[in-house]
Amino acid sequence: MPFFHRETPEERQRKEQAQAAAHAEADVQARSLQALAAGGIPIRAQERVTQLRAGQGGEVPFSTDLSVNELFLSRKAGYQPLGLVTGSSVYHMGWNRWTFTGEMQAQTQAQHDATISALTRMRLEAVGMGAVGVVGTKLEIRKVGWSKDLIEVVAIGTAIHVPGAAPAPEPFLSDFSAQEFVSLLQAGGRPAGLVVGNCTYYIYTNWGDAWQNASWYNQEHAKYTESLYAAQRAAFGRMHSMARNLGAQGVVGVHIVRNLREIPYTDSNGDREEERSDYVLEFLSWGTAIQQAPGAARPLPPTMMVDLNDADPLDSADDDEDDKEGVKE
Amino acid sequence: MSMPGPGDLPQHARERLRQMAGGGGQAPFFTSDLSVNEFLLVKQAGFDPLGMVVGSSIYHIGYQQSNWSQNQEMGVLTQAMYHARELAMTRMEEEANALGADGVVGVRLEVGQYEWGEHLAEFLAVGTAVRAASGQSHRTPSGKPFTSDLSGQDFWTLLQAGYRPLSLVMGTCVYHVAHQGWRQAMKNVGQNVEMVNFTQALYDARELAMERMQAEATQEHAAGIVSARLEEESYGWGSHVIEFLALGTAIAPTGATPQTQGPQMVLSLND
Repeated sequence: MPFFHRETPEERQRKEQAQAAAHAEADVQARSLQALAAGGIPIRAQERVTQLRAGQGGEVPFSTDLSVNELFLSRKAGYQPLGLVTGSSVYHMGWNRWTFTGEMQAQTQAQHDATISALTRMRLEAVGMGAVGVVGTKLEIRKVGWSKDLIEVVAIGTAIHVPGAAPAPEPFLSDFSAQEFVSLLQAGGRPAGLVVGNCTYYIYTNWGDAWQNASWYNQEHAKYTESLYAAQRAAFGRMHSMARNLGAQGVVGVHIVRNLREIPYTDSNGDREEERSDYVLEFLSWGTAIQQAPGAARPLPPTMMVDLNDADPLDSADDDEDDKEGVKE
Repeated sequence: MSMPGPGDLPQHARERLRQMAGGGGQAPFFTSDLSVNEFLLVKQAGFDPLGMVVGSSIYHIGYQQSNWSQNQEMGVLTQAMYHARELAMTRMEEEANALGADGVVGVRLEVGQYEWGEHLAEFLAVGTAVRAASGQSHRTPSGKPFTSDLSGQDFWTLLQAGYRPLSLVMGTCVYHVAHQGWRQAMKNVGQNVEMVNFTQALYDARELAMERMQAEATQEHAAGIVSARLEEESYGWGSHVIEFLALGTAIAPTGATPQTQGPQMVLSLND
């Protein structure tokens, strides 16, 4: 081995290739960040969407999170899946101690913005694919593993289109399964869009509340009950006004996620110190707003039958259905 | 029936398969993790279950140094997760091959970790091998048995709709999400803002996984992927390194006219 090693042309070439790849990756990331900051979708998502759009009609297979039954039903109804669409938004939420009970408007706004960003990005992917709408949307609020102040809102659904028809400029979003979607179409209704409403509420524990918490008597904690109601009312009200703005008559399949954060602190009451806890209640509801044509047909009466489906099919996909809707750790 | 090709399967696997295949005066018999309803429907679709097939691989997942402050794919880890699953799947396919199967239904892919090794993981693929009663081959264009994670019910419906499963397709991406410096962290205290850096990382990783899944389906000349799903897991790599796995069944048209009636509204009398 010589002391001074001169680079061979192959080595130099490999090094240059590695550098070029690193530069290209850095460039993609930088452009993605710009796109995200402008409310758009990252470069890789744009690429996948364009690829799917260009290959429609055979070269590129569609992908869908619809089950076989759902795929079959939506085809019957004249719709075809285009591809999986997703939107994501990670938000930083600041928490501070309050000394009164009420809505935390900044946090409410942040949660709202994160949800809307994720949904908007998912819709952008659907627009890019030339879709008329999105079905089967799953909306998840995850806590990001490495920080308690971060949340990620993820929306995943399947973009659908009607072969031969023009794509919609504003594809509708819905969290319907294909079964629900087809039933609704049969009954003369149509989805108007996903609507969300949320409220983040601070519950301050004062001396009286702490005393009541330590009491031996059974009694309603009126302040906690009232806070729950207030948060719920505000969230539902916002969801309803969003639905009304879409010209919808109602919202179906409403999901509710409630999350209680404990904010512990030590209170010094004259000469002695007491451990107390305040609470932050996060309330989020969403559902699909629907429009019904006037004089729409009533759905047909169902036939009775014994079905051969298993209550608990093989795959465990159904087992975690419950926590899909909830907050993930 | 004789065993076509010994393959490199372990001896006990070969013995078990030989027993199930029958021959030498013995009638074939099968084991299967299909439920009764699924069994009936697979039969109805014109397929006979041949036996449970398994593929397993215990894999040592290597190490990769991540750049603390950079969003990046962990190529070494992605490759490990991909290769290990591929090994388990291939071994399962080999077992199916040994049984002379047309394909495998109800495939489950699992990852298990044991106490005896921090960087060891077992990748397991389990399913039920089936063969067409008509003797017509239902293998993939490349001559391999088809694989699918669809249940017996879904398998039946898919065939009725004029499609057949080709293969279980997947895409994976292990991604390192950059830490933020203290200066950035200080700036965000008490702020409610979008963290575009983090959004970009998680978004990118999902897109890469989906893109790879789609590429696998394209390679199989599939018409589409059904029952696709996205899973996220961190296998003891710390909170900033996450695996995104996209998984689904690629399907192709059979060419047969779909045997479909309009759906009816029914009220199930099952409890």
